[in-house]
Amino acid sequence: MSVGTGPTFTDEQAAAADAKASFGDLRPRLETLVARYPERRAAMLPVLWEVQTARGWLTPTSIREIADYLGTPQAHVEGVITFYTMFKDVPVGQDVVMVCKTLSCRLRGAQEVIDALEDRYGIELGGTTSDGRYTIDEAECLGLCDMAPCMLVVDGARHGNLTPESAVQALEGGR
Amino acid sequence: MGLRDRLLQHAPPIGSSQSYDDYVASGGYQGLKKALGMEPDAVTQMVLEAGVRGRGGAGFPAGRKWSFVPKGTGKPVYLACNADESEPGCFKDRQIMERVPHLLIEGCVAACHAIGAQIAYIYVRGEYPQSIAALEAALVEAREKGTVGSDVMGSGWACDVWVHKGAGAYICGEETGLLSSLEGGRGYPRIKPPFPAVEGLWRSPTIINNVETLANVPLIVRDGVEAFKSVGNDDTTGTRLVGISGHVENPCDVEIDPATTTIRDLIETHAGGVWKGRKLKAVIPGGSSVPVMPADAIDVPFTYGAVRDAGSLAGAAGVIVMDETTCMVDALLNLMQFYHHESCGQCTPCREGTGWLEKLVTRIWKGEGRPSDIDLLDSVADTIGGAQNGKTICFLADSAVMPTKSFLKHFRGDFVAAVENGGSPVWKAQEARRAKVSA
Repeated sequence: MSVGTGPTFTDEQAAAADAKASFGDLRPRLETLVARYPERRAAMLPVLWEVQTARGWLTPTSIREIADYLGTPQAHVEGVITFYTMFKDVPVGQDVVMVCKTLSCRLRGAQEVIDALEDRYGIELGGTTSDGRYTIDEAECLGLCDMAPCMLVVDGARHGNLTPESAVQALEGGR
Repeated sequence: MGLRDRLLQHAPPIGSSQSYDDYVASGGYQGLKKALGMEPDAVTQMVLEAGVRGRGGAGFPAGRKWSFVPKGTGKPVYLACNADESEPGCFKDRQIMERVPHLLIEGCVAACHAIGAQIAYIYVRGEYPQSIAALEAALVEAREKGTVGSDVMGSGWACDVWVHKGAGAYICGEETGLLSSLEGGRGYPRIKPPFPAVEGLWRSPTIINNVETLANVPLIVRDGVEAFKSVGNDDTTGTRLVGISGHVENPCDVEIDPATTTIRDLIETHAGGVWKGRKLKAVIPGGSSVPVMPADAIDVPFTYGAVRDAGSLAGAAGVIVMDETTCMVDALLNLMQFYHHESCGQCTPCREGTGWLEKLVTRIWKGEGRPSDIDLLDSVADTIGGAQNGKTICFLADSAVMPTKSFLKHFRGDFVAAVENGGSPVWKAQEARRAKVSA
């Protein structure tokens, strides 16, 4: 599981993310999610997804607001966020790309795909491109083994049967 | 060669999703209609007699699981559909959710009727946005048409189905980890007993079934037990959806008659054979957690019993194929990185042990292994496995142990070679590539 590394962002970055959507504006949608469960806290994952999608990442303010909204301690919200690799408590690129590294993909050239992406953007997996367009994460099996090697844009397109060239091309096409 | 379309008989090709109208035109929602006219226990009895076993990997008979729901507790009952398909090499449930989402929805509602639930949560992994979109769209249609909602098919009975999106944690596919996650926490597995059928979501009786298991329910009710059992054998009734990946010409997902389809058929007939004209070296038949099989062991039908008798498990039907050029040290390292990363950290043997397995295999892979490391690896594996003996809460550690022990048993030579020759050929090639880039 991911381990919290402490804040690696500025107050300005957090304020900019918060400014993208006010919690009040999100509230009507969140109410429909909470209504699906017999206990408010069960809406944790759906609420985290909504807020993260609206603001890009889960800022300290977001964590406070969600804790208040669901009636649970902030420490619990932080504990949940750090357990799941797809929740981000630091700024990320406009899109997060998950590149599969697990066996079925590795057998068909995943390492070469990863090397090509790292070379092209001058970053290691987990890093963000200098223009802020993409954060490129390594992923455990994406369940797309029929199109290995593969990668997934979070909540977006999936790209399969990748070569080092086509992987770079797929992301360049989205710039 | 055993190709049998039943679940996917009317499914549109990959990339499109069957509409409500097309689903109904192909006989959809008739099973639910029939179920609603039956006593709930009679529906459970049909599923029990059909003998359908859990398709998520454990193979527990679904009807028996349903029968464990206690009566008259005064508590609500819940259904949780496990759509957290995260086992490396498995991608079969995706086919159902994306191509025939109404089949799963119908299965959920029919199962709710049988177990006395009025809410089903479909827990879909966050890495499956296309599956989530297909299910959400189908649920909008189902509510409009009244197959989900306050008056299911005019019966006066209410049943809701909600999609719950995960966020990237393998352990949430473990049934009690899934419950912890659904309740809004970290995906920590829970000690059993109490079993979820007695105390699950919010301490109420909860049945957790895999996607493919539930998708079979409407067909069992609609066509009858005998029709269902006309495919497969007594050990494994009905069809199985199998994903075949790795070193094959045509990685794919197929629906088969498990009694008449061997692992060799899956590779050679359905997946176009080992790629590049190479020879087969090894097969992991049921997803990454099950023991690896050597090339000469694959002439067995894909039933639970036959694969078990051959030394492995059909599991969640993710067949991973490795050709003669594969370094088994590299393959095992990849899996140990996975299990170490995905250990939830609650139990010391698993949290520390999967780390030690990864470290030991890494050392051998990088050419720093000692001859004694191979036996050490085997002994660490023996030490951390054994959820059934109470060493750990769930089976994640065992899922790392099964590949480790079987890789050493069948492919010890690869590990000895890596120790003697300065590391895995894959590591050497990678080092050479990096040296070239930086030169």
